[in-house]
Amino acid sequence: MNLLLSDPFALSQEYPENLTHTLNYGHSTCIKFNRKGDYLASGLIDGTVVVFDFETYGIARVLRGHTRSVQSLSWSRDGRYLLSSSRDWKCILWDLKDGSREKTVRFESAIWGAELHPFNHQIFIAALLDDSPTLVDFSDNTIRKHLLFSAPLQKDDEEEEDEGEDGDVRERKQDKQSTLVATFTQSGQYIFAGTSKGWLNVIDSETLQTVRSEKLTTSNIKHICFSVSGKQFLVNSSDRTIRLYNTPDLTYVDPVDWDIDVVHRFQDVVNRLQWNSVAFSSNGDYVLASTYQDAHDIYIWETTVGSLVKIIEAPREEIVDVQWDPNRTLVAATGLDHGTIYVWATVTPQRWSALAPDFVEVEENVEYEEREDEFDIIPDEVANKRKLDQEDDDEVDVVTIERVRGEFSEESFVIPVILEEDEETFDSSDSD
Amino acid sequence: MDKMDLDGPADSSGDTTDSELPSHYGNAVPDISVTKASANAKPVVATERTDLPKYVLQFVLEGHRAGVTTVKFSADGRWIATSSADKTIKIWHAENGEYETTIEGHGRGINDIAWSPDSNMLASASDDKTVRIWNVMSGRILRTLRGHTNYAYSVDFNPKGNLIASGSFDESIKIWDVKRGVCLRTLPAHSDPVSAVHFTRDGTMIVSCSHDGQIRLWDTSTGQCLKTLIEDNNSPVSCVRFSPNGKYLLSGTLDSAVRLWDYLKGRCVKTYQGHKNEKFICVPTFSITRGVWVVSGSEDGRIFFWDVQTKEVVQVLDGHKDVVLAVDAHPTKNLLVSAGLDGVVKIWIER
Repeated sequence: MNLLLSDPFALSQEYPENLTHTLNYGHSTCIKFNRKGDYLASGLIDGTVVVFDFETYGIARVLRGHTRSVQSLSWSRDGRYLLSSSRDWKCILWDLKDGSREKTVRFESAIWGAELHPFNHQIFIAALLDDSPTLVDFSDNTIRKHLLFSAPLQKDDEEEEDEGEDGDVRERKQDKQSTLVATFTQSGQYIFAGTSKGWLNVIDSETLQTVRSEKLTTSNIKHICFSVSGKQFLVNSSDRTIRLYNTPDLTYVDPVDWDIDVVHRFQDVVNRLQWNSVAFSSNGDYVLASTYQDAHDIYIWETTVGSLVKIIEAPREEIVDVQWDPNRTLVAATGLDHGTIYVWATVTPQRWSALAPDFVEVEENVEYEEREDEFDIIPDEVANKRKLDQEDDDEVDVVTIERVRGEFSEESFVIPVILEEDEETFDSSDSD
Repeated sequence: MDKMDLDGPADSSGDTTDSELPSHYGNAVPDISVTKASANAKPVVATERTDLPKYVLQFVLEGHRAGVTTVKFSADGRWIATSSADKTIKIWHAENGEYETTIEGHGRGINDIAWSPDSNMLASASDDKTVRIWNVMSGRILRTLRGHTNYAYSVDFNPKGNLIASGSFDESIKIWDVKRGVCLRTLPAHSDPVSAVHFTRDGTMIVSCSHDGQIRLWDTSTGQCLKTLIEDNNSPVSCVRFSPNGKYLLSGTLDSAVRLWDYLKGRCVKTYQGHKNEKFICVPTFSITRGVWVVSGSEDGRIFFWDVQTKEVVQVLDGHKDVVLAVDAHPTKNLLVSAGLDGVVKIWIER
């Protein structure tokens, strides 16, 4: 969208309402936008990863390598690398320049999910099923795995060392929890990990020590996700509640002094629904969640007051994974039964005043008062001379490039279009 | 109004062997009179300035058998592509003017070509109503974009290389997906043939102009018209393009004027005159490698340079025997290439 010339009213629409596109390529299980929001990666049930170009709604890359369903996807900061984890116990880092496999990392157990470090595409954190969460570092061409702890840090000065250590009964009960989800903070300094017993463990990514633990809920933590700005984070747990927190000051305040208090709790008190997946809006003002089972809905809450503002209905199927484009008012979601990707966006009508330079859209009839010299007949030469004289003698700068406020200004990798390949055709239809 | 007054020679079989065509003359003697005095209309003469352009002829490239319609430097500055009414595109080295290859396949004369941003592909718009995408090195055709119902007149790649916009005599603009080769959108752009299309640096807008005298700005993602600019005398606009920073538009009109528009304010801020342009499409362009100039060919066979700020004519190059239809400036070096109805391509250099 061009920001300079667009209608300001169109830009201010807060959440999308119209289903604009449906993408059908295989059965999609999880989706992720890149930082700029112009590519969407989709992991399929047969292990293929497909990258859609959201300017053409066509396919930019098809990445084959996994043999089982894709569990999670994570983009590098510049958008060139994509990390996918799968039920075949492998994580693959793809180079999108040509679709090749940059690195493959095998694990000893099934993977819940893997997230790339926000600044370094050679480090990622993986949450494993039967094992401790692992930080993998493959800079210098070696794969180094560092095991992290699922046991929470005790508030008193004792530190838990190992999962299987002898201690009193209370400690052993806490030991038997596994980390289900782990993600880096905005700067990559800490890792936020959620466990099966509802604890949030904050682990320093340099020292790999747990620096803070907080019990957020009693049930599984299913998702932890940060807003685009990093100032808030959401926790989705099995007790059917989504909790919104303000991120504590990670740089200047000691972990011990952090305030991790709930800002809002989002739940559906009427139907007591579980939430399949959660996301923030691009500006952090709204929270999205998709519902479990029969209600084919996406709920949108507003974060300042915490009230429900909209329920978007999906056409036919239960929605599994939902994502908000980081730069536009656009929501993409995958369906459970067919794996279709639905895209909701805002639709702005054509501004008719743009079609001629002196058209203006008015609310009601206006009496036109003509100028004194409106109908004077001026010979062409005089008129031309007058026009030329009116031209500014000001400096005209045709070379310097100015950034437009609000535009995504970081360098984002453009996936090169390679036309020699043969590809299966796929179905992308526009819906109204 | 046609870009070409004469059609290419009737090529019955269409087979050409490269050995028949003369490749190039290198290092031609610069016996060109480089005058500084301006032509009839502009009274102000550029004097007393030391930073004026001093382009001289470096190479003459011959080989096309009919008038050359477009000449473009590749984005990486290594190649020159020329398209012609003889239905071929020829690729030359930018450094030494050496001939590289010929690309053939269109059924009728070619009106416009555009390089992809990675300099690997060329898009061409032709009188056979198709737009074709070629692999430059192998000369093979990659995609044929069919859909226009009349001559395809102008073509441009977006900066990411995944979209192509084409303007046509059927008064519409089509936006194509490069990868799949399908038309994504058709914009009902004008009420007369669309003579030029151009993307902004960030690819969010397309500017188009037409023989009905209007210049329109379109949003790429929604296909909606964002703004319309019109000059009072409604003379056909033959070409329009964005300035290097995307803030201004440069348009050439068939009343022998080249105008610079500030499209946010919606008015013309500079007018450049002195050349003759009343029938053909003479494409104006910017040269920003040393000094900021506006360059345009003229129907009397000359090439005019204007200073962007003062509007004075700062150099006039002579050398073509017929209308100069296209000029292009190298992205980084002080090179200029020009071509026209006489079928000859000339490279000019400023040392």
